[in-house]
Amino acid sequence: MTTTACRRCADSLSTLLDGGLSDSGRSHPQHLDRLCPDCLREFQSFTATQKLLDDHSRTLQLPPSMWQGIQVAIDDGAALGRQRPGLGRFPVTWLPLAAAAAGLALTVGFALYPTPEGHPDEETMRSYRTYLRERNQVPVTLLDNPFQDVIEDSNPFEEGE
Amino acid sequence: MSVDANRRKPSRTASKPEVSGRRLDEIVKRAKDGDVQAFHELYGIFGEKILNYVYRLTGSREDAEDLTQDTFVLAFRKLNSLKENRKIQSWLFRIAQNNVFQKYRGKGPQIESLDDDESAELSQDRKGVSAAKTPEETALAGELEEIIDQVIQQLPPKYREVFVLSALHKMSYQEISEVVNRSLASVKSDIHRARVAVRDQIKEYLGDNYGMSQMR
Repeated sequence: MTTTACRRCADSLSTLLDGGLSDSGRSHPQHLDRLCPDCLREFQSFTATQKLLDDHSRTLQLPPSMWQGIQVAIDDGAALGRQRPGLGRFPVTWLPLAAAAAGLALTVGFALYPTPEGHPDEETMRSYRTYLRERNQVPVTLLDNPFQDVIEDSNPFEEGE
Repeated sequence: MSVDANRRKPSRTASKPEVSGRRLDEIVKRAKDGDVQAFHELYGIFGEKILNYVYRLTGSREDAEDLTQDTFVLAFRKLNSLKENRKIQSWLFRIAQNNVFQKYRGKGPQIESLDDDESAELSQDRKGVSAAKTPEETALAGELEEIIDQVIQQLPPKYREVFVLSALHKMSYQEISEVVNRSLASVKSDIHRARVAVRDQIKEYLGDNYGMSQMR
């Protein structure tokens, strides 16, 4: 990128080309045009570039079909609004509706068909009954407590008779 | 050298007749009330500018047409969110720019040059604009268009968007700042850098031809 001899002038020239300088600012580059050949050349080069852009930059024209496409889209939007007066102002997104429906179906399903813990199936119940029967067949004997005598005979908080 | 003579000469991009502020305000109001005819008028005023801006950002005529259409459909639907009617131009350019960013999110636009048919079509447009030219002059003009296209497309996107708005669409710094949502200082500085880069690139292509001998 080309550097400029007069930095302040270069910035002002660019602003000047964009029509953004105040009246007082405009006098600065004009002044430099007389005094500084480098800055004058800089200004002329920007002007020549801009002229080239003005005269030779490519300009596309609107295709006639574009407005028709816009109008169809606008009409479709208006028709959609008329069909759904309540929701017409809001875009319909089916994803949240589908998610809500799925959630409702799952809730109802769990309510009608609860988990095996509440209502176990036959095989589970058969296993449970077998377990109870076998458990009752095992003899339960309580072991003697080896500390029974100590506890009964030596309570330090009771006064002796 | 006359300074005023070099200021804001209307380019072919900005060749549409300007509409007065009051008239524009009236059209926007009617369009806000759902008047499609008024919106058609807005399309007539700004459509070509938006199309050419998007073309400069994308480098693709097809994408530019699609995105311009999307811009106006979205604008019609969101028109009531525009608070100041006189800022309709900046608002439309901003919608267009957002559309471009959304389309090319995460990847740069595919720069393509126009094929022969499109160039011929544009040359026909040119014939309607300028005086009759010899075949050599027409060919030369087409070559210059290609060079300018390439030079602008080679700019980094940050510089390109502000440079196009300034040099081709003749927008003020304030308007550009509103479109690109950046500070005035940043806009001004980027335009200057882009201007220097474009001048140097064009000089590289053209050498001392076409008045470029003044360039350093």
